[in-house]
Amino acid sequence: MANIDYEISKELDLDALVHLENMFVEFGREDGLAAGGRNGAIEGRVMGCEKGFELSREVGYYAGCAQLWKVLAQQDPERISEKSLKKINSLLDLIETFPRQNQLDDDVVALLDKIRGKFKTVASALQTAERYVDAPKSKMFY
Amino acid sequence: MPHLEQLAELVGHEDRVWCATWHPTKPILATCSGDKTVRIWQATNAQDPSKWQCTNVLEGGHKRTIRSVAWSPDGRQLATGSFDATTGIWERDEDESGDYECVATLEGHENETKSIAWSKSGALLATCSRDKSVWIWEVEEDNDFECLSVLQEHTQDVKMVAWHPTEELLASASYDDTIKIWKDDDDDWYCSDTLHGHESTVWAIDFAPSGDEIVSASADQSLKIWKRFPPGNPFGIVTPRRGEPVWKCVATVSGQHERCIYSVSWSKAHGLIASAGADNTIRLFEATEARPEAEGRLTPEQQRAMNEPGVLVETVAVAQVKEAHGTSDINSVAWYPSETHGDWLASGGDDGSVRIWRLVQ
Repeated sequence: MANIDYEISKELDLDALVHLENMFVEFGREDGLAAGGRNGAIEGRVMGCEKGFELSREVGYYAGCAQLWKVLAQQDPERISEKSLKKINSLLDLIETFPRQNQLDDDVVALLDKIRGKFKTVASALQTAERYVDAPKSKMFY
Repeated sequence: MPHLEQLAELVGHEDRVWCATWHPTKPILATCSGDKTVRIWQATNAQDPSKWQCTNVLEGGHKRTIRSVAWSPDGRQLATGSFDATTGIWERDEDESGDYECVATLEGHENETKSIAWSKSGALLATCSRDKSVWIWEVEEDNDFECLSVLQEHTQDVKMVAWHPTEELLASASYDDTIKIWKDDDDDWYCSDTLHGHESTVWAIDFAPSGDEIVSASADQSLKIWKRFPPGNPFGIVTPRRGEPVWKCVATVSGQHERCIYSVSWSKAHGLIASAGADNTIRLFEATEARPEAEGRLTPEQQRAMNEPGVLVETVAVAQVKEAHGTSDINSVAWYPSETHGDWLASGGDDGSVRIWRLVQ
């Protein structure tokens, strides 16, 4: 018989035997982590898009109102005073500083609060009860 | 032993009394209630301070509880803050009837208005609400009020606003456990400092007569005294934002009240602090400079190292009245604002009554 070279372990691999059950648990866990990571990234991206859209929708609403009011103020300075126009411009300036790209700090929320506050001040000065109304929540969610 | 004796019990409100506030110059008290009205009470006999009469009832102005009432500094107008989210401005008719009528309604808050306050000059009015915002209004002629600023920096319900006795500086207390200090830079209002330290809702605040200290009352059953440290102060307290003073806690009164404290008043006449709340007791404290060996006093090196002044003020319990409104919570205490009747204290409680007390030394 020719000499067939293969390794036969001289010792019984007890470790592998003892951990037989745990091994599958471990494999399962690793698989889960990988799948979770993939799904989480997708979910995160979706949520980011949704949140970004919500924030921008609100800021866009304020920008739209402010721009319209500015035009109205310029057309009718009797109706809308100089002081109110100053407030409208101040609101537009604040909106300009709102980031158009992803930010990693949460100053964005504080800025949004300032914009909301300024909007309410302007609305009060123009004697209107205009308020941003949130869009109804999407029926489909992840 | 100094003690408080009850001068009078004023009945008439049909629901809990939320706030009692003295007219700036006359012995007249305004109180507001869950019964949606404000009642005006007047002392009828200069010789007998136990005689009071309800001279006016302001009703029909609000659709819900009136939570807060405040006299304008010139005593000519009353502002009422209501759970219906509006603030009413009332004036007395100049003609014979002497009735109060609502001359303006300030709208804007999204929900319950909790507190309103006039600045010392009478030119500004601050309102705060459960919607977490503080609004600053400018008083213009002809009962026109212009909203100068909507400040949305508290993270929870704002319970109370109070103005500095002389400067245009505002303090607000909130369910978020903090007190915020607000100032303006040419009508642009901003938060100058945030005072952390209380472990629960801060229900009430009042400035010391000097304006350099604030006393706060909290649901954590303690009172805290905060002191203002300007840039370059001798305690070495760092003032990080250019030119902005910093407020630090210099005393804590704990172990006295056994439940939430809802109201606190610092007398301009004799400097005593009155506090009351859910433990049905009115307590009086005196605040003095802490002795050198007082617990919590820090050395100058420690002050600089920790950037804290340590305990600079010591408080002594002077008097107390248990069950001041029976088994009912006490919602408001207010010292008479001047020396004329500096020993008078008004209180309002859940039992619907208003009581006038006199401090007997």
